[in-house]
Amino acid sequence: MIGDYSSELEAINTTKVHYELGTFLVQKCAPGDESFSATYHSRFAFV
Amino acid sequence: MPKVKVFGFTARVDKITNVLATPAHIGSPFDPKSPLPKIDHKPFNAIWDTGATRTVISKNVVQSCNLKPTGMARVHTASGTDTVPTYYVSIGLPNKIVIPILQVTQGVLTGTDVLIGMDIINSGDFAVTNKDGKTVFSFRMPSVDCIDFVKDHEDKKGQNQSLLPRVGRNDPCPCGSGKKYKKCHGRGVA
Repeated sequence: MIGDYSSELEAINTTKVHYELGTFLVQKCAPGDESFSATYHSRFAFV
Repeated sequence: MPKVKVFGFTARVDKITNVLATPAHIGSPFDPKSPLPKIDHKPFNAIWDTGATRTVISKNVVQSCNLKPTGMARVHTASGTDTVPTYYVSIGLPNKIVIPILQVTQGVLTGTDVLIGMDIINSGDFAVTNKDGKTVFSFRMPSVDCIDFVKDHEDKKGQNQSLLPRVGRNDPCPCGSGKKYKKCHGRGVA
């Protein structure tokens, strides 16, 4: 883990100074799986 | 109380449409409290989808805007569950509506490059009407009021009734039947 920040934008802007964008992940810390999951009732695919 | 600026747009189609489509401009995320950065938004076609919990962008958007993934998300679809990259973007909608930062997922889209999901729709008020065979789709943000078609109808009905002349129980019925009101359309009315 590189660090913890109070907003997604702060996490990206601070981390990209030292690490290239695309080489690190930002994850919102919240109980449950809502912050990292999505549901699509429409018929389309993810590849 | 501080005043809140409300932005909105209305899209009109000259027929009944099955697809709610608008332009959407995608660019880098920015801090809304900071001075506006140089606008790097690129235009794409977007479809509004209440069946999508999150907004989706196509590979074309990722490549055109040179976006880099900043996260992963678990997505549930009719064909199963998968893990896909996510991106932080800003989105420009018609009539200067701007969402400065939003996490979107990448997906395979047909006929469009952006799927506007409930994450955006829930940030404001959204209505679709189809009067006279013409679809009108309207959106504003932030949310201002509750849209209630039933209450709207009842309120209009109440206004219309108050405009009608009062009819006495023994007066002729306004329908022209020749009967007394109390024996015609006023039957059972107190």
